[in-house]
Amino acid sequence: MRGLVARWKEAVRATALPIAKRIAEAERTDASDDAGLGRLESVGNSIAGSPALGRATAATADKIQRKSKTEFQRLGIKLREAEPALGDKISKWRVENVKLVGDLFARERGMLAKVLREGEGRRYETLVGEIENRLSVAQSRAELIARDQVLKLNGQITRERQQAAGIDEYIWTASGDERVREMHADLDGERFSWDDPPVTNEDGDRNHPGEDYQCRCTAYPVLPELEGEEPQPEETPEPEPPEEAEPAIPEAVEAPELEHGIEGAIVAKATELAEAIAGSSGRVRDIVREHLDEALVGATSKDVALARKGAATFTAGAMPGGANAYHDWSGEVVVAPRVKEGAQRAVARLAAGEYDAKFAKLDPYAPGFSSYQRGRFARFFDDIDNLRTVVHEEVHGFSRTTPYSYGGVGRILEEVGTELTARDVVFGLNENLAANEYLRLSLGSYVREIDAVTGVLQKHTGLDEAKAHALIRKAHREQVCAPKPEFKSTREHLDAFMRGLDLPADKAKLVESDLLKLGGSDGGIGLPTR
Amino acid sequence: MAVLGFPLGEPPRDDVEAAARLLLRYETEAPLGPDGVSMFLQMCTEPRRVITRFAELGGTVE
Repeated sequence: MRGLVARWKEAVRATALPIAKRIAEAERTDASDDAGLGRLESVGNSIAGSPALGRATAATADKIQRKSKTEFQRLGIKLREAEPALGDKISKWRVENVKLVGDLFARERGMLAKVLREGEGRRYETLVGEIENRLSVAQSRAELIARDQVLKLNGQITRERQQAAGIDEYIWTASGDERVREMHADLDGERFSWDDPPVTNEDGDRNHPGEDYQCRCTAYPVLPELEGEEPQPEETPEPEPPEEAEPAIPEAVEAPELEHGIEGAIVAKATELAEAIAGSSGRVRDIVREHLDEALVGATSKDVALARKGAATFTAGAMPGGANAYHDWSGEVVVAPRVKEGAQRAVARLAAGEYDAKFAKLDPYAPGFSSYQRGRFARFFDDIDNLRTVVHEEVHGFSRTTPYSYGGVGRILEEVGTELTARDVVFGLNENLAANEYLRLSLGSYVREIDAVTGVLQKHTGLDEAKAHALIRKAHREQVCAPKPEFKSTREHLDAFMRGLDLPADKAKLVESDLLKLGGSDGGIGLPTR
Repeated sequence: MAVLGFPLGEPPRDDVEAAARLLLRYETEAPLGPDGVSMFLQMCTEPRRVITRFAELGGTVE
């Protein structure tokens, strides 16, 4: 869509600005002006009918359809091999898109003509300003149309697939951020039938999620099997009955890899992650969760405890002292705007395949590495580091940590465990990231804390650094992110971490003693002396 | 053994005003660095309010 709008802008500037100049110089407008505007009309028509628009709508539809498929697989819902009804819906959607784009340019052409006709006696600069304003309006409207159409098609595909899978009801799930309209926020968490949509706007219209204008809500399927209900028997047997939905949520992360292969999975995941970051959605958390190992499945967290998707919000906000981010105890992740932008760039680059095999071998300090190459590498590096920050804060969301355990050694262990896990998740997004030695050795924060805790473990266990890190990650995932109550004190955090290390008693005693020294003599709130 | 702590003291978790003032002291007397500030905020029960108050008191936010 951006390319098409750029083409429109170029044509408008080439055509309308000379007319504006003649008007401003008090020359009479004549038939040649109308001919100029006529050219604009033909440009608008050719854009609406262009193969580029056709390709763009087809690619968008395909992307939405694949993304929806991935989501269904994640939920363990099998889809039919053939989906003829879906094909019809997508065809109609594409036709509607082309019409909307055509209408947009026709309307804009009319507005430009009005600006020019009423321009007599005005300065050239004023007219140029008004023309540029119209171009901005055209761009905004094109973006609105694109966004609205994507949401609508996604809603239609969701409905079609859920009903084909025998799912009759859904939970209305709002996107969970401050932009959700009040009526949709009220619907959040409510259960509806696909046959009976709720009223979703002041006009009394009834819609399913995604159908209302610019609606970003989603329909979370109600799986009767998961609720202990008997599936409703079908009244009329069909030659090809819908496949049964399987209650298999945690394992579904494997599905896209099987379908697309490693590269496909990377692209799908990165794209999904990019959208989640851009949309400030709790989906970031879900993606992080999928990347954590099985020990984390079922973990409760400050976010998940709210018991619905999108419960955590993800916002960019001002930070003091160059800080990158924090995980608010209410379930809100707040990152510096530059971090959010960098993370989005990183996932866009991942999706575009820019972190390729060549990247894996880049070393900014190798002989012959030019300063230009070094600068480019630094930008790639920084973006991935921003993505790591986002993931880091999301991992906090799974921890049993609270403000009352986050002090002294509890604070250090929480950051070390979270950071090592976050790095692991990020490197898991693309094998080329992990293969780049410079990145692997340099990425991340809390270096001082990680070195200190790793040093304690190495001193008393003899493990090498990689194995010590793996042991810290294991302890953090299994005990600190475990599905157990939140920590009420630093002591509880330390005890959980020690259980996760699972060391022989003599070594455990030495490790615990040295960890306590790291945390300072105060030990944080609630750390009693043993 | 290194002690990884806050030289001017840890933030009072539930006291927004005191935490904001302490963060201001760190800014001028003992800069914490990005990770240190993140940890400081994470130790407060209402980090967003601490940042707002910190800015009101003249602290630098970006």
